[in-house]
Amino acid sequence: MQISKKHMKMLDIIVKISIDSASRAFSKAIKHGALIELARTELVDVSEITEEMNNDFREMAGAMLQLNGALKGKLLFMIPFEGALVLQDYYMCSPQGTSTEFNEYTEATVQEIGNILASSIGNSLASDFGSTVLPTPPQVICDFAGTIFSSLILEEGIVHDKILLIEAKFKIYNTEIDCYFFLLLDIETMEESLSKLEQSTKGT
Amino acid sequence: MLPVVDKNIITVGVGDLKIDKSPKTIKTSLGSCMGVVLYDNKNKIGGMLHLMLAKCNDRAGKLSKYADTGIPLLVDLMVNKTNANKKMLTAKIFGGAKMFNINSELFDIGKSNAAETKTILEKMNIRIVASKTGGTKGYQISLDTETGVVRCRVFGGQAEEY
Repeated sequence: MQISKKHMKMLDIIVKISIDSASRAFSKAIKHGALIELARTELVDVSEITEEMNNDFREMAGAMLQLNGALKGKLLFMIPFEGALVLQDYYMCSPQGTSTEFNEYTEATVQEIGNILASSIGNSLASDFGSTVLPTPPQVICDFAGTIFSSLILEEGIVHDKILLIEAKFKIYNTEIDCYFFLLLDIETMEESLSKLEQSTKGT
Repeated sequence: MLPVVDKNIITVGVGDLKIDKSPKTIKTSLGSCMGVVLYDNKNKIGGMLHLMLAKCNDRAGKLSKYADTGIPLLVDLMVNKTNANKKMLTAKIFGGAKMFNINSELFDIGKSNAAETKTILEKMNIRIVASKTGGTKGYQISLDTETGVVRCRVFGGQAEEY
């Protein structure tokens, strides 16, 4: 699996704009500031990245969905259980500490946040690439961090030893809560989209 | 994610394998993947394979991703690189959960991973002394290379020793 340096650079800029847009949509949804602590676009080794993830034995809730259309991929929003409860209170405009146990409302909150992030990222990518990106409804998974992440990369990981992964970490302002966001792009459709974008900018 | 500070803990990534000896602990998280733990009780050498699929079917890439190529590779490395005694090796297997809610036997990767793992180990005359497979939730396993004990926790449950 190869991706040119030029395309990687282009993708990095596009992704940073998308993540920034997603971060603003996220902040708006929870009515609280979310700061991007890390945003990176890398071609990573499946075993190495999952080794890193498997170090984290925390229990988390994740919203996973697929991006279809001209640009294909998968998206995962993941948050530790205790963070999801805080998120739920923000989202429902309840005083902090109202939500004390993970239930269907917490699950719905995580699902909705996944939806909001996917729509924001999808719109941003579609706008930059001049193509359509259609997200599927999010599936909520509650499990260990490593297990949820493995579910995201399983299909790609079987076919390839390396995957193109976009990772962002959000910190909710004034809290100790970290949220993790991953975007796994299909190299083939992404290369096509980047080539088209490259051609169209040459003409301008 | 969270960095590991203990140098005695080794983590295995998806489709990978790790081998070490006492006093190290080898750990991983599993979903539909299988964790194959081999242990030589005499030399206190342990190996852990995190396989993704049952059969390689001539796919390119790492052999440790598949049961039919990964298990022989793990045995080979343990015997030839770390001087484990093949006759002393015993196996413990974990994982193979049904992580995706699809009503088809064909898509139950976890089940076929578990079945193939048992077949390969049997063919290689390696006795399975403990196993916990199936379900719909993830597993966390860690092997103590000093004792050979595997601590296994299924999501939502208590840790058990095997």
